[in-house]
Amino acid sequence: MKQSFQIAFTAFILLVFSIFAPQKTWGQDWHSIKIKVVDSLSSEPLFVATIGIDKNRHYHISDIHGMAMIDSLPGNECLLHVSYIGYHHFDAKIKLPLKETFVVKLCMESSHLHESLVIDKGYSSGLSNGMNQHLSTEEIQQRQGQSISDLLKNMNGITLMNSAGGISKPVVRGLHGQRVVMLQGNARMEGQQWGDDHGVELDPFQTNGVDLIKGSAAIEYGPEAIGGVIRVLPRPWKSSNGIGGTLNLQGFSNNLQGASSLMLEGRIGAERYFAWRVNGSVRKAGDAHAPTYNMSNTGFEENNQSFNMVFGNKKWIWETGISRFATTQGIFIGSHLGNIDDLNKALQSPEPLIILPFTYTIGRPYQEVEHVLLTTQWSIQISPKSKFKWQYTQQVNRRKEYDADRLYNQALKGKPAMDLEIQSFTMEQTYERKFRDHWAFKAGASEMYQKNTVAGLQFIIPAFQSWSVGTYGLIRKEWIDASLSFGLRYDARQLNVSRFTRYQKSYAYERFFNGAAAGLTYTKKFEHNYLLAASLQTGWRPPAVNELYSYGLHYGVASFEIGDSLLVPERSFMLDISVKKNSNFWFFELNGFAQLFNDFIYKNPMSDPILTIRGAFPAFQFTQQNASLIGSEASASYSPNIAWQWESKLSYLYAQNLGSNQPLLWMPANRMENILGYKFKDTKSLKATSVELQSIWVAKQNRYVSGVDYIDPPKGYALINFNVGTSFRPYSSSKLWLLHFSFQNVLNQSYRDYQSRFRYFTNDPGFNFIIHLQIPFLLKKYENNQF
Amino acid sequence: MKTINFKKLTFILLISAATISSCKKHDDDHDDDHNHDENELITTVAIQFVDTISKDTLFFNWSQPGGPGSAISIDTIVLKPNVKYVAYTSILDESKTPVFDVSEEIKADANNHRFVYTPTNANLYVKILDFDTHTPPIELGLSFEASALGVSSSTGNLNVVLKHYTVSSPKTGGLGNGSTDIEVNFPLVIK
Repeated sequence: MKQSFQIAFTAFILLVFSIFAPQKTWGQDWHSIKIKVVDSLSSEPLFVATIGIDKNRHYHISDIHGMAMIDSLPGNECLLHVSYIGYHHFDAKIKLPLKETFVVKLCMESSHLHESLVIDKGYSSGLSNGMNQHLSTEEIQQRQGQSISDLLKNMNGITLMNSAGGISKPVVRGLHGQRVVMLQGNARMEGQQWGDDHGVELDPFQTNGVDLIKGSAAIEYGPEAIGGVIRVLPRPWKSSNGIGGTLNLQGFSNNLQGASSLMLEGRIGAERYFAWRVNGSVRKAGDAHAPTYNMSNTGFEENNQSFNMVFGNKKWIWETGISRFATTQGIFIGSHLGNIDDLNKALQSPEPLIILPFTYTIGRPYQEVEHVLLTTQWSIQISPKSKFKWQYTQQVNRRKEYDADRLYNQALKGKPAMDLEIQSFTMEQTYERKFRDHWAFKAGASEMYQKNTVAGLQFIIPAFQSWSVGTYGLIRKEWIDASLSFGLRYDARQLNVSRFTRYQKSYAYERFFNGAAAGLTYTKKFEHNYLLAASLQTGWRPPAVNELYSYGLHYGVASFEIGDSLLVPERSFMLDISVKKNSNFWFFELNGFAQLFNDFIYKNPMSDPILTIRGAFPAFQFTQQNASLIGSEASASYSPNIAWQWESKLSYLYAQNLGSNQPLLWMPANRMENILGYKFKDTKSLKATSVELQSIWVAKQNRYVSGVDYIDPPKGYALINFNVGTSFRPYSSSKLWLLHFSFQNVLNQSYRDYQSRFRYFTNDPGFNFIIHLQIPFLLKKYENNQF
Repeated sequence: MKTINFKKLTFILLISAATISSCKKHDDDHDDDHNHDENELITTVAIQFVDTISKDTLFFNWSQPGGPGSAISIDTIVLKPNVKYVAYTSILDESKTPVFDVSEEIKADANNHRFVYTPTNANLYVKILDFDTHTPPIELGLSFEASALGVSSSTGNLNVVLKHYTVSSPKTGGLGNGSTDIEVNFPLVIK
């Protein structure tokens, strides 16, 4: 049924396009511009530089003379964005018509020091160029949701693991938790990311862009990046002197949520400059609502603060920031059950056993999370061709979980069931140098100390300390239309679990892990705007503390988890190939990957339940087997003219446990997304008005082992979303305000996603109307405007 | 605007940065060397049967002192046929010193607790003797009457369940509500 719907929708889109075939539907002046891209120092033309115009969603490429011609531009201005590997990107607003050739001078990264914060494409990360995906500021403005994960799910290859309410975490090609590194700017986030119900501690209001490296990025980011890296980019520093800011207001109908953030930023100076930014945001939500009932106790509240500043001149830049994320999350009331009999009762009921009226009150069970991160970094231009960076990051992550009140010992009343605090101290050093004939070299080292303390009434994981060191070298050669990079890395980690007592038995552990990673990446640009990238990588990952030493009940789904203290590190071999093609109307991208794991660590359901005084519980034992993950992501977009755009995305994953020759459990199902967008003419009062119809189709996960999970995977489903956005000036001297409306799950479809942890008990949320107003403002403006 | 004195500014910023980075979070609540004995654990269900005729007392325990997944020691309940017994149930945490008696807490929170005794394959008749303060009162079950009627001998099972109720899933809603805090099985022999 869902499949025929998808076919009908695609047919509808094609019909619409056959009517609105490449035509100038607006009947106004059309302009063409000539661009020439050159190196700022040598004035040599740059071949195959990427040129983007805001009005087209896809790119143009400069020819061997550095020239590109772009036509069919409406209006009287456009935004130009030019990037090239190894150079800083370039942004400018061009007034139309343009009589002469517009010359773009790109600066090499090593010859001019710019802030390390990345704004948009053009960042050279050494090995993974051509494999990166990017979520731009514009897309973020259109797709703002209630959490950072809501933004991440827009990227092909990312799915979400949800725990009803506000908790969700990203899954990259089936891997998550300790296999995906999340970066807040340049700082690596360290928390209790092993938990399936531990969400991401980042404020979506402070997100200006997202870079995704799918597949092994272990060379530059260390062992935990074996599944990929998600880098959340903050807003770039204010570019003109003065003080300004942005106010965000957001409302959601499904859980009657209100959210707001205020950002103030300032800058003074010219060649020597100082810039700062302060941010504060709050969020309050009540229970979420499935189409026919309330999901009780899924409300949450959040408050975040941050302060960042940068101080720089021609020779060096010093950036410092401190941020705090704090949330209290209700945990769905139907989830904390007694034993296997209680679980069976809940599974047989089509609706949750407990449904209460809507409330903002967060009762038991609930989570309290606080994450504070301090980071400081120095970038120094040693010589025109070399640069050095030193970074220090200190962070603390505190997690408390309060279970449904079943205490008998009243002296313990009010104590959390789980109380974990992990402190991490990291230092990183990086050195980059460019040589003649387009050779580049990058080397780095990192050191980390972690201390995890444990309190609480239940044993989950023991307290531990760990020391990690890593060092890597990367070498890259670039030709006019190709590049080749090779990297090597070595890491070592010492893990000490101090003596602890559990049920009158005493334990202490000490483990040492080490390993090497290597990678080779090749990219090539062909005629007619084809880009090919291929990467071969090997990496490793030491087992995490919960995989080694956990022993206890997980109330979330009435299961008992047991670690295996003898686990050895995982080793992965990955081949990743991607092909992209650009043309004036079309764009497509095809990625294929195969990742082979030796000793892949996973939870294996045990044949016999665990007996406790509370009755029997299904038990899961951490173990390891060889595994393979093979998949692909494809996306295509077609834009016959400025107004219309159609985009289609597809993702496929095959994950197999090679030891038992059965599918790996709990892997994301295959899915397809179609978007039809229309951009309206700018009027005097409304600018950049657009509407978008989005359909998401998720298949049933047919690759599972029957009888092992409590219930079979849910059936597939399709959702329709509708987005409208515009910008306007409420008064003549104001800046452009952005207003977005989003209608999610327009048909109020009842469905359960396979990666919803509570799909055993409840449907996923129904219809949601989101309104988002973004108000930028300028308080003061100083002379010497541009840097 | 006047030129900023960058030297002064640098000095101020460095001092503030140093102050921020030297701020250590309080971790006096968390001491990883201290063994947290203060965890909630119920290890033992102890049922005491008093023969109403001979006044003899029989003790039967279900006990898992090592916590979930560890060894369980279960006494077989042996009762005489056609004799009325009065039984008292205690719930204990024997991993602590002194032994912590949970039964008192259960009695104090009677409106949210209920014991259910289900014999199988044995003709044991159970009648609950104590009640809570609901209107009308609902059974609690810390004490009950048990008598084996009819046949002279049989072998079966006594299933003991403690249900725990909350405001959102109350006791007044019946046995289908609440969650299971204790569920144990005693072998039962009538002879």
